[in-house]
This record gives sequence, structure tokens and C-alpha cells, in this order.
Amino acid sequence: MMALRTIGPDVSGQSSVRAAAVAARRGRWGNLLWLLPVLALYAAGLVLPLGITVRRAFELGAAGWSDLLHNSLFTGAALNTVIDSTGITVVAVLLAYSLAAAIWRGGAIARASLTTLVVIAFLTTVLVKIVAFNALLRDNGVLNTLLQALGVIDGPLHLFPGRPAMIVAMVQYVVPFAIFPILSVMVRLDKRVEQAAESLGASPWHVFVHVVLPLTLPGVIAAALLVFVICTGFYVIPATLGTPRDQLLANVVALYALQLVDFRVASAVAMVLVVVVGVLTVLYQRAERATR
Amino acid sequence: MRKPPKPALVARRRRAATTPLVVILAMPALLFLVLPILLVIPMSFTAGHVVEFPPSAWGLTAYRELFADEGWRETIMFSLKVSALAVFLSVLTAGLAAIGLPRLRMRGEGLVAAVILIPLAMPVVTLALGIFQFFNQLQINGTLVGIAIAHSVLGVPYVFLTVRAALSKLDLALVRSAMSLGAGTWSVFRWVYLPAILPALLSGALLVFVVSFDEVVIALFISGPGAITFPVKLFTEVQFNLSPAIMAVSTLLLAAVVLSVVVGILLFGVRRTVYRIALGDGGGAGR
Repeated sequence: MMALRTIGPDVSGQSSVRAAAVAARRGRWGNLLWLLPVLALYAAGLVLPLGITVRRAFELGAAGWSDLLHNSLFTGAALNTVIDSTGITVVAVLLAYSLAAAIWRGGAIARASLTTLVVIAFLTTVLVKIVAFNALLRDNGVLNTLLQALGVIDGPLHLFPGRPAMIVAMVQYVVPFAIFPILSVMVRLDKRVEQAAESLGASPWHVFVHVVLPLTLPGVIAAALLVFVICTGFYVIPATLGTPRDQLLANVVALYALQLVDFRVASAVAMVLVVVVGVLTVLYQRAERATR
Repeated sequence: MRKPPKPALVARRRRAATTPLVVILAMPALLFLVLPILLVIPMSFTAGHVVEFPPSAWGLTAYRELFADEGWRETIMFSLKVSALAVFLSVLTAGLAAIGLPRLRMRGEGLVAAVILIPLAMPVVTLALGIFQFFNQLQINGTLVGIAIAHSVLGVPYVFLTVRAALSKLDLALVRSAMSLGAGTWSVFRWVYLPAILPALLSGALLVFVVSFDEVVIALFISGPGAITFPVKLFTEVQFNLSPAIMAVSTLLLAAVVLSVVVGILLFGVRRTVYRIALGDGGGAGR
């Protein structure tokens, strides 16, 4: 259709213009063909699977849903998910902020090496991370051996399997994700604002609290929402580092589907997860747009 | 008499003075991020059959056990095939969609793009549950094709994003002039679009490969006898027991990541490498 446009001035007369318009329209919708493969793929791998899940969730009926609200597996996991995600978000964003600030303010060497290490941590598969934290935090693991050798503790601290190991690993997993949104706001800060504050006599601490922090807050909010969204979907880390009592919502979905073979309840819990994550994702996108 | 220094100069000096402090403050976070991962390296070089730190005797037993184990080799080969097919499907479908969507020039373009990005935000376990149920009806659970289709859905957003970013730099006048000179759809694709998006397709393909090769949850749901991916095997083994062989596997995976990051930085520089990776910063499929 673009070709017709450029030729446009050459063609005169009503009929040819109309023919061109028809061809243009046909050409335009012919472009739908470009989208067909992805539509087919998404139909098979996304839309129909979700459709079945929604249908199964509704098959549960009102009685089933009210049972779910009194199901301690579900309520316990929901509570765990909210509490753990909140705590992890706070700690992870603090750690990410310190790293982002160092990458932003550091010299060329500090910046390059910090970035490289963060990217390596970011790309390392979650499986290596759970192996590492298992080896580090188990009863006869590196940390307990070290602390006992130093005489800090008499018996081993029971960190794994359990919530401590699980939360530490989840924090470590999400920190790199939180760095990017914060850093992208920092690098766009106008240096002159800081300089103005400094030349008016503000101490570095004052500049940070009253200038840098408020200006980077949009990045912090975006990072927090992103981390929270990631936390609500955690499956592998709780399954491998936590006890059955520490499981999150995603683990309950898997438990009902794979062990208890109750797809209605599994689908219902999955739907709850999707709605929560969907709302949070929309909020995240708003926050992320605000950082630009 | 000396003139008082300019305010900007004072500011720059102050900045320089606080810089070491800012870097030092980041050290705990950095150590926490990196040290635990590095731990697997020394623990893999043991001569014994238990995992300990430091190993009581250094050796390569773990690696010998790993390479002698048929099970690991089979799952790695299976995973490579799954990931290759997933990369092919994602690159093909997402590449075409990224080119075609702006050509439609319709009002809902942003909406369609958002729909294509949905798998990034979807909790993987929800997707896994749905795919398990649907593929059960199609009877493709526990097959290479089934797992590859599922993984390619996860991969599409990455290719779509990278190609779209590349296309936004392409001058559409090139397309128009090619067409006005009589080039057909295929020629335009081959000689205008393809050269412009080839680097994006390649980095997108790499991201899809990483996503697929790391993916546990979907592969766990729809795995079957003879269709067990490498991450699923690692995941199930870790739940039972930590063996030196697992430390060796982890060390090799870590080495692959370090190698590819270093190569990326040598080829493209820190900034562009990070930019490319951050493009895929949507949620991480492997959690």
C-alpha cells in the first residue's frame, strides 16, 4: 500500500483512485498474514490453555470457592506469599539501590566491573542458585561449619530447609531485576540539580535525602512493583529450599495439579494468581512509564 | 589573592570525595549477589563423594561421574533439541509479527503488542497448568514438540521486543522506495527488512535459548518418560540430595554464563550488552 501512495500523484481519474484505495485496503489486510503464525502459536500455547483453566476454575462453583477460602493450604500459602513478597521487596530494593548508586556514581572501572558481576548474577540460572544456597545454608553447610569453627555458635543454625534459606535465595534472585529500573532513573538525573543544591551549601547527606532520593523515587516504586510481581510467581525456590509449611501460591497450584490431581482447585488458585499479578503488572507499567 | 573556586568545581570535588563511600556501601549487596554462586566452583573440585567445603581432597571425581552418567547426557541432548525448536518457532513467529504489526497501521496496534507481551507477565505456573490440561487433550504431553511449543510462547516476547526496537530505527522510506521500484513482498523482506533486523533476531534467539534451556516449571508439568529436560532432572535431583556431580553441573552452567557475558562485553561493550539483556528484563521464566 505504501507503493501506491508514492505513485499516487501520477494516477489521475476517479476510477483509478478508487481502484488504488481498494488495493490499498486489500494490501493492508493482507498484512494480517504476518501476524497469523504468532496468533496460531498463541492460540495453542496461551489462549486455549488459559481458557481451559478459566473453565475449570468456574466448574468449582460457589460452594467450591467458599471451601477454598477455608482451605488452610490455600489461605496459608496466600498469607505466606503476601508476607514473604513484602519483606523480600523491601530488602531487595534497598540492596539494589545501593548497587545502582555505585554503578551510577562509580568511576569507569568500578562501573564496568560492578555491571559485569550484576549481569552474571542476573543470568545465572535459578537452579545454580538453589544448589548454592543449599550448600551454603544446610546444617553441615559452609556457613554453619564456618560459624562453628569460629566458635560463634555451638550447634548448627537450622536455616535449610526452611524459610530463612528460601527468603535469602529469593532476595538474591530478585536484586538484579530491581537494579535496572532504579539505574535507568539515576542516569537520567540532571547533574545541575545536585550541583545547585551543593553550591547552596547542602551537605552530601542533605543532597541525597532532599534531592537524589525524591528524584529517584519513581524508579524505586517501579522496582518494588516488579520485584513484588516476580515474588508472587515463585515456584522453584520454595519447592527446593522451603519446608511444606513455607510454600507459596504457585506451589499450591502445582501441588493440586500434580500430586492431588484436582484440576478445579488448581485452576481456581491459578486464576487468583493471574488476577493479582495482572493488577500489579498494570500498576508496574504505569510506574515504569512515569520513570521515562 | 586566589579566586574562590567555581561552584561546579566544588560540586565535582564533593562528588569525587563521596564516590568511594557510595561504592563501599554497595559492597555487602555485591558480595551477597556473587559469593554464594561462586561457592559451587570449589565444591565441585572434590576427590570424594560427598559435598563439603573446602573439599578434604581436591580432584575431578565429580566431573568424571558427570560425564560417565548416561542420564545427564541424554537430558542435555533432549534439552538442546527442545531449545533449538523453541528458538526456531519464536524467531519465526515473533519476527514476522514485529514486521507486520506496524504495516497494518490500525488503531489497536499498542493493544496487539501488549497481548504479544502477555507471557512475560504471566505467572509461569498458571501457564504450565493450562498447557498441561490443553496438551493432555492434544496428547502431546511428554513430547519434544509439546515442550518446545510451550517454550516458544515464553520466547516470543523477547524476539518481538528486540526486533521492534531494531525496526524503530529503520527508515520506512526505504520500504516505500523499494516497493515503488517494483519490489515484491518477498524482495522487500529479503533486502530491506532482513538486513535491518538480523542482529536483533540473533540476540532475540539467544534470549529464547537461555529462557528455554533454563525453564523448569512448564517442563516439569508436561514432562514424561523419555521427555525430561536438563533443568527438570537437575530440579528433581536437588530435591533429594546434593552430589558432587550436581556441583560440577552448576559450575559448568556458571562457566557458560560467565563466558557468554565476557564474550558479549568484548564484542559489544558493557553498555550495549547490558542494554540487550535488560530488554529481556521482564520477569525471568526460570523462577
